[in-house]
Amino acid sequence: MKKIFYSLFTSIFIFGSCGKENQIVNEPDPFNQLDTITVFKGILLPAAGKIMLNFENYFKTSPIVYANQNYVTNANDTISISDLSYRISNVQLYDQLKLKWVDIGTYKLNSGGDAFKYSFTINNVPSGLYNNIRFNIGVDSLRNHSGEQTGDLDPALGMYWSWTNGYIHFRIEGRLKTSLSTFSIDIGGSENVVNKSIDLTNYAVKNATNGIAIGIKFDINQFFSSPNLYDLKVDPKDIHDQFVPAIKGKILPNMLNMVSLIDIKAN
Amino acid sequence: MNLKILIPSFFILLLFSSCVKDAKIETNISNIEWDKTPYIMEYPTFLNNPSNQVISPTDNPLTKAGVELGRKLFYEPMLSANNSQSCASCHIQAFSFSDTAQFSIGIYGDKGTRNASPIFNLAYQESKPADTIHRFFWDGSSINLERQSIVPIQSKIEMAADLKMIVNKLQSNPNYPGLFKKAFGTDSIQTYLIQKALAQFERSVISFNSKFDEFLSTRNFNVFTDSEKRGYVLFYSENKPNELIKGGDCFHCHGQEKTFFGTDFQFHNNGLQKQPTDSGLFRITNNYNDIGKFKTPSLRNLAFTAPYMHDGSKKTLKDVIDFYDSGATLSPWVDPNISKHFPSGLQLTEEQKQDLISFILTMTDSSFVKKTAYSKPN
Repeated sequence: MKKIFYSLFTSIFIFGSCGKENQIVNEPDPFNQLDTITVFKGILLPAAGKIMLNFENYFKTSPIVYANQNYVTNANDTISISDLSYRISNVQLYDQLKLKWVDIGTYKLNSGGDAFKYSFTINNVPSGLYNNIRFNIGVDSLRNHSGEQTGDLDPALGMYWSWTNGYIHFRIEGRLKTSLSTFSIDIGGSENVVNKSIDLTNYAVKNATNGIAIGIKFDINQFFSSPNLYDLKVDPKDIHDQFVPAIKGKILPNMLNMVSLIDIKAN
Repeated sequence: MNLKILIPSFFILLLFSSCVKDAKIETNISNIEWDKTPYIMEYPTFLNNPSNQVISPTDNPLTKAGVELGRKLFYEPMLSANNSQSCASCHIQAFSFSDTAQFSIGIYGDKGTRNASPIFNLAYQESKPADTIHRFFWDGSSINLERQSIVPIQSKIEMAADLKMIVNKLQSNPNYPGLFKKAFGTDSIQTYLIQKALAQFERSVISFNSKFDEFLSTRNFNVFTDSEKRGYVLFYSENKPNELIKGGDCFHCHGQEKTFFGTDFQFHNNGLQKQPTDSGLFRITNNYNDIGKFKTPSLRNLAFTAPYMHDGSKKTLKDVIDFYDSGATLSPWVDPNISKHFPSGLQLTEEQKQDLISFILTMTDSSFVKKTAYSKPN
């Protein structure tokens, strides 16, 4: 009797968990084409899964440390960094089979946290074979000026220009040791959103139980040097307005180069 | 009594009493239900056309509880850093929710740089068509009232508050969590709910009870005095010096008769300064053509809103009329309907100027500045 009871209990348990799995995949497909793929480039999610984005902030190869660490830019400016904050939004993946971008993102703010690392997880990423990821550093023009200001878009969290009612997309602040002064650069404004696209095809990673982790590097050395040399002795070291010419002229192209792929792992 | 017993019993009593108090607040809030009763606006008959009625965003419809909460917040000094000023400190109902000072003084004694705008019929500023998405403040920096509502609260020279602190102050107040629950279904106060409530109250504030409105309702021209009638004709007439027709050309920017609002909801450079010291809309758009452009203010309730212009530089209506009559100044940015009068000006007689003022003052709604629905709640 006991044995029957146990096996009944176990089968109910298995059955119950099967039902749950089925709930995650919206429309159970008797034949899942994605399951048959063995050779591929990019990331493969045979079923809906989760993707963790791990942003890591470096100066060249040194992890960013606030306040006491000195960094020397290519313009020979010795700087320390006291704040590195940014917004990530509109994350999308390119599906190679459906030939379209798939929205998976929301609006995230990295502010006041760890100087080196910022992570968030996107659950329920649709199944697919993806070869490219793209996202905004900042908040798109539509949401910049309209829509509910909830979650990470709450102006109470800062990174917000009250005078123009818009979000600050990226902030770097610190001391400029070479001239014993501070620098404070805020990038905001609807036209100054950086959309970065990253190729994923050097990796082939299939979804695992705990999802896929994509490591993304922000290199602050590049922010000050590539392709445009940004010299804090000459270029504006305090920017709090969206129409400063140096933003479009130098900083936005540098921000594109600042971002690169570290690695992709199955968790 | 033994002190050893007394002290612990005191603490137990204290604990118990605080528990009871908390439980009481909690019970009160849990009893409060989300009240979605719509707020009904009362319009004059000439505004019966749906296109002339207040349109709220779908995610923030006007409700009785929402408007009432917004009104309470509008008069709430806790929205400033040191609890000394509310929105109503500079937007005073007796002056059509504007300030008599050229520049209002913030909580730390700082002067503003622009004259405090009156508050009425703002919902139309949002919904009526215009050439730009920019709507609120003299420079159009906010596109809707939700966004507008938190700007003066955060401005360092105005209420200088931190939004997080405001949320905490309201959350720990015995009344507000319940009022938010009634208005929005949650007692967890957040910035966006403060914005929604303030925006609802602002949308609810309308003013259409003047002699001019009586004319619009009855179409009886005889409600006006002779001077007002002459002013009416000047107001709505184009100035054509070659045809010997005197007109004020006012209607181009301050609204066609049938649009009722006293403004075209647009932005213009009115030639106040040849080299604008305040770049206005340009600061928001960076468009060269927008230099020195400011929002057209409504001509309603001007009896209460002196001084005039974005910089409060004109003390009286006569000063304003004299300025436009003079032909203003000329620069590449001045609106064509102003610059066409340069340099000779309108050349109105003193009587014609007085007639214009008489007509403009028929747009005075004296009941509005005393209306209890908009006044400080008890």
